[in-house]
Amino acid sequence: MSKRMTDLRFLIGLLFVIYGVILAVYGLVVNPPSFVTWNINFVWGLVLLVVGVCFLIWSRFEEKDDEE
Amino acid sequence: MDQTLLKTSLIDYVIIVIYFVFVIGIGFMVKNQMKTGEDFFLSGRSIPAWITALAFLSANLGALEVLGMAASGAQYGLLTTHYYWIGAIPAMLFLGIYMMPFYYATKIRSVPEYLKLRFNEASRAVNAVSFALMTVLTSGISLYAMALIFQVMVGWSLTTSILISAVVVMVYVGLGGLTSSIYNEVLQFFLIWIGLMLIPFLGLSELGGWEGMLQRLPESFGHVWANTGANGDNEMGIGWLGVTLGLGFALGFGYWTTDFLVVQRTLAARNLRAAQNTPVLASFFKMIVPVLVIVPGLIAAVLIPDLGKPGGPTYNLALPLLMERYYPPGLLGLGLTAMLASFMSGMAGNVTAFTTVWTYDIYQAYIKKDASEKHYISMGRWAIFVGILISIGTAYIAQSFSSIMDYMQTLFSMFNAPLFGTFLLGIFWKRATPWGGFWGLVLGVLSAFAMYFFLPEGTFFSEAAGNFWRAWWAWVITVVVTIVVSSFTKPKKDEELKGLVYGLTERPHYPNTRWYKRPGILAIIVLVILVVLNILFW
Repeated sequence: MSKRMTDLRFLIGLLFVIYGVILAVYGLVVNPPSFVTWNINFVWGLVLLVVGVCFLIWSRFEEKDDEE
Repeated sequence: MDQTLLKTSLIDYVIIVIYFVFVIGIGFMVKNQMKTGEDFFLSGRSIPAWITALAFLSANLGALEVLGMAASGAQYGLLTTHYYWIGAIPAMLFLGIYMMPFYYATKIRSVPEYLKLRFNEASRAVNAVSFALMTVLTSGISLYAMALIFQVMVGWSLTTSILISAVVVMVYVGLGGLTSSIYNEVLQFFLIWIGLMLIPFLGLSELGGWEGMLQRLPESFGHVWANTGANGDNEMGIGWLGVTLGLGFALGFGYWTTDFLVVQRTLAARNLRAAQNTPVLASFFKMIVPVLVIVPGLIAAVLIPDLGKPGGPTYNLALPLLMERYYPPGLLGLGLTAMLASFMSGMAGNVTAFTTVWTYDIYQAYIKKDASEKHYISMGRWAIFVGILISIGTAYIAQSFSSIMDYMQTLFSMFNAPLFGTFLLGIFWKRATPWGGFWGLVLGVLSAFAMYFFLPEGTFFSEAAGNFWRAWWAWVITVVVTIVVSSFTKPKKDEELKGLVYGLTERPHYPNTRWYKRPGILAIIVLVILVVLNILFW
């Protein structure tokens, strides 16, 4: 099993990307009526996607072992 | 119940199920790292500071806390922030700067173990047994409370919610121990922000911003300190002295510095500096949590006029009612997932703390001393299983008492304030003797119970004020008894106290570390922000 799969930054990124895609697509396709005039599912899905991608990028960098 | 608060659709369930699959998956992935007892119970002391810091914070940010603080915000306004600012921050900084060197550097594995080294076996036993008992009971009661909320919100039966969440927690904690638990706490931290952040945002924009909202609320709702001059000037019935001594000092320090549920997260850090930074970094985030939990309470108080009134919905529904108002299907699933996640990670936190204390401080100490690492891990897994079964049982018992949750919270705080007195003297006064520590702790706890059961009703202005003052006096009694008993019993020798007592222990210094990684400097920054916040919202 790769080290990556137990890197928490990667796992958070993965979950947020999955959720972001689901919400954004659902917002685009179904766009259920809501309190606001804008497409809240789509917009928030994109936000999640961006956050998720940031975590994925961060997980590409080695986490430094801190000096004591 | 055929009428539910929220209308869920398929998409919401898809989002919730993905989360369940994900956390169980994490359990399977970290399972292979579990080789020794330290791996399982303390994550092999290898976790980076940012992760332990967020876990430290989330272990305390359970769903009950989220719903309860929103309710309190709707009922009392900004006064509720005392629980997040003065009631938490100074204590968290104290833990990081002054107490971590003793907890981490002595390589203890639990809070009771420190008591054994510093005082004696009897003090450890008292603390281990009372902590194990209270933790498993609290876990059961929050299990029940959460099931109740989900029944009202989405119509799941109590048994469904209780069984599903208990089984999921059992699987992932059983597989991956503390690491699983910590990973899920961090995941929950991000989920709860992303899942609930839209509520204060949409609420404030609907009400015309912060000022617009405050204009439509009673004057005292917008202040933290202005109305605490005399007891009873504010809805909460608390005065500044009770807030400072009781909440800020006795309760806050008691909880944050001695409760093994939170302390365990710091012990998982990879080195002493990371351990010190854990509560310090967490305090940065702690200060902004009110945006997520208390502000929605204020919003609900404006938008839902019959909230908390006879015939209207209870205060506890403040947050779910706002979800109903603002969240369409899809987003609703995300919000519900955030709440489920915070509830389950709260429960997982209780379970891991219980398991560690049971295995190290009761099982290894009194039942089976020299077994293999493998044996203790499997004992830990059994303890998780049994602990969760007891929690489920407690959940059903709790069903027959309506107000037991408040009582539990009160009882729980009665144990921590005296324990903090014992720790403070233990660490900073080397003359405190083993039996001084023991009797101080026991009589402190007993006196808290006595005050609770025997003081006539109406002694305190309000329940909150009662909690604050009871904690303060229990702390005072612990300190006085410890000092008196110590004065005529035999202290431990200096050599035995090395590393355990201030003055006999080398203090950590980090001269070669950059400033933003040094616990002392970060703590000063937090303190400045804390003062500014309190003045800003005076």
